[in-house]
Amino acid sequence: MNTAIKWVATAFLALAGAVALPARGMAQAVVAGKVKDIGFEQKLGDRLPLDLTFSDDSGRLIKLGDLLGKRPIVLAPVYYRCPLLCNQLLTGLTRSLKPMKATTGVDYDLVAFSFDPEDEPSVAHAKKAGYLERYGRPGAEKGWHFLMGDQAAIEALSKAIGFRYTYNPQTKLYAHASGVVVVTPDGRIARYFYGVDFPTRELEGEIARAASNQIGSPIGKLLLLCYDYDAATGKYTLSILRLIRVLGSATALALFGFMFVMFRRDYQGKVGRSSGLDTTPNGPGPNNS
Amino acid sequence: MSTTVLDQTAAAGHKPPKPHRETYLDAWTVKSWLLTTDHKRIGILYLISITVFFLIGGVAATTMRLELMTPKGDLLSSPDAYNRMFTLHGVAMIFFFLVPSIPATLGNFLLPLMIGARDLAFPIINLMSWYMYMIGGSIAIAIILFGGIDTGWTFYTPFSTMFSNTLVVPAAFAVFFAGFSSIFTGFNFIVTVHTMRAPGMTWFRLPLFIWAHYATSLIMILGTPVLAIAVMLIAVERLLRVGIFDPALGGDPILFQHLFWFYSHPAVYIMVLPGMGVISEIVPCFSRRPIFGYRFIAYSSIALAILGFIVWGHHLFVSGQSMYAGLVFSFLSFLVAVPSAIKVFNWTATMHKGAIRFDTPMLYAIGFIGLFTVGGLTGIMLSTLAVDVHLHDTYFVVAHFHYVMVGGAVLAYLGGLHFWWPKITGRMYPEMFGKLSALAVFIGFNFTFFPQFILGYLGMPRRYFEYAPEFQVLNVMSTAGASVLAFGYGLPLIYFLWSLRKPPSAPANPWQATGLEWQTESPPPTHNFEFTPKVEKAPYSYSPVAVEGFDGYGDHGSH
Repeated sequence: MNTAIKWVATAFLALAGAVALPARGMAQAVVAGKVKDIGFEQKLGDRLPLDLTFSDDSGRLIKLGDLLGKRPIVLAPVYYRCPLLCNQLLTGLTRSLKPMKATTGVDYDLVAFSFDPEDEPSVAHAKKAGYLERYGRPGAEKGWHFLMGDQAAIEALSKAIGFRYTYNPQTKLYAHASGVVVVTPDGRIARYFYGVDFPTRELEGEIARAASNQIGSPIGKLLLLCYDYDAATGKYTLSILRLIRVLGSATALALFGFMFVMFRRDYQGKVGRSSGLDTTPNGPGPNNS
Repeated sequence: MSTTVLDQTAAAGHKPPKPHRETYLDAWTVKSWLLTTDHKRIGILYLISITVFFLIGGVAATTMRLELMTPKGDLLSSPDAYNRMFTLHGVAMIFFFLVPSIPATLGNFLLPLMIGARDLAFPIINLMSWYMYMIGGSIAIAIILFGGIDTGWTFYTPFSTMFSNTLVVPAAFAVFFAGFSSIFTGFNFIVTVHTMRAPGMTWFRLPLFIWAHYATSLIMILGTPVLAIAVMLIAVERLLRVGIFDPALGGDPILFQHLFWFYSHPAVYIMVLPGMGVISEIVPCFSRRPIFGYRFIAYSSIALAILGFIVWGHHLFVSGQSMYAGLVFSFLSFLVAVPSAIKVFNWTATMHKGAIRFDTPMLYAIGFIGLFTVGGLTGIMLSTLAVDVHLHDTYFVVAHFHYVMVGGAVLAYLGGLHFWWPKITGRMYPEMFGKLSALAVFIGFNFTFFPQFILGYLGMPRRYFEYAPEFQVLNVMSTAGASVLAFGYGLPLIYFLWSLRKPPSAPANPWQATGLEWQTESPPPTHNFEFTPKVEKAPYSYSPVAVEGFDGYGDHGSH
């Protein structure tokens, strides 16, 4: 019994509610549809389409192959007017790259590419300048490329790295996953990192391995998805509902588990010592007290 | 309720208590009260604390009714002051009076006695529950002193986020603490009912008061945390500017309404279910008949607890909820009428052909049945989609929930307090004044709130400082009724305190009621029972025969 009670007590700490909120179910369904369309698959060892053409933040046309050959690259799919997750990704990436011995432009290149064909070079330029300042290593700018392209080029590159995203015409924003790809100098995918926070040591090690054209191993998939922007439902609505659902289910499970154990005990007790769920009517009679 | 085979003297109810019998009330030091783990003393602590909040909420209500005597806003300095007043009324009455009222006072006191236990399963958690309540309550009082809040007791966003400069964050903490006090109580009740029943006290020999409290405890544990989360998120949004509910920050204001009502609708059942438990004790006792349909009443308590969780959307019919959700919630809300009606029919069937005595507790109980029925039926009107569009946010809604929560919960609370006052304090109350109070409450209540149904139907919106002149007659009626109601509430406060002036003299069982709590002395000894009771019979074994020796007061009454 004590375990059962501890259970319940633990559940209180979990601060919980109960069950899903069906009324929100509709909004949920829309988003769930979107989730299927977004993802970041690992295509380790695949070769990037090196002949794709992009333009950089100064408007100069660049072939993807021109960026490769000498150094490995860290490739980050983002879009520059993205209000939240892409900024966190670039910030997290910069924070991770900053303490490394390796320097961009010398040991590896950083390539951000926009999957929004509408992105403007001026926005890209501002972004790049901001992050370069944070990175704080003079001369690093020659290793930083903030690319834009037309729809066809974007789709080809996204497909090659297994990156899926979808556009929400209501919010005029993209729903997408978050992560970076390390590419070997010969243009093959060496390793994926998911999320917005990248462990410096691991990333540095991976860049060094990629420099010698080694392909890494797939990593556990903990995708951070970026889709909770919908102004109609609110940024955190889904996270809050999910939290409540998890905690609520935990509470309900603990409570009903406890009840189940206790009622079963009563039922078994009935067999032995005539207590608990004894349902003999023993009908109402005169009070003889 | 059940019969024991021992302690015959106590059951007889006519034998004067021994002169120096040990009772739970013996120790009177401050420490003995503030550090007590005795469920009976904690019940008393709660009784005193909730009475304070009832008075605070009552003063706010009085001020509002006086303001509404005239169509112009002339008593309070500003509409904002009026907003603060009704918020104060709602917060004090709901979170600090009604939710803890019956469970934390009568429930705390009686639950172990009724199942033949020495205390609750976790006495220290029980004391912590009271401290939690007091922390929340102190914050609430501090809020009143430092300017109040003006969001309404529902804290609807964005009122409570963008547009309020008042003390919303402290209020969120106050509600949070009060919520945890009721979670502790519910947790304690559930474990106690499962593990500490006396030998022979099977589930279907439990008094219906226990069934009702068990169902209430389930709601407390499942629902209250959601409220706690919702108000905490408001605090997070206001303090950290994280967009959760505020659309300007990318939040969703309707999310708050969902979270809030997901608790606050079940909370209605937290308030009224224990009251139904009280009525189920009083009605058979004063009708001298076994309760009709014991199992139906027991299961309908559980049904209400479950249904209570799936109808919150009927508060959001006009909040932009999807039409289909509205339809479903409307239908589910209709279903609530079924278990409620089962109870009402069973109580009246219990009275049918009974030898009814109209003592104060019974008068309150009958008042409950009538008023709760009105409250319930108007609830059906409100859960009808099209009708709700017209009645939403009008005085009709105000009248409806006061019929359920005051006509229901408060009358049951007062009835129960009269019924068990001899057990709790060892004193009888003056029966004449008791009847007068029951009558004043019933009449005053109807005069206060029935006109509000009409006002609401005619279109007077709730929460307004001023109103159109044609509504004045009904508003004056309502205010006049409120003064009668206040008189009815004031009487027990006076005569209950007055009854304490003499030493305990009430018999163990003044009402000749069945049930274990009546088998021990009044007031009970610290450990509740001198022997562990053994239960051998179904509850409510009343028979009209017993009425012969029943004078209602034993031989120690004040008459």
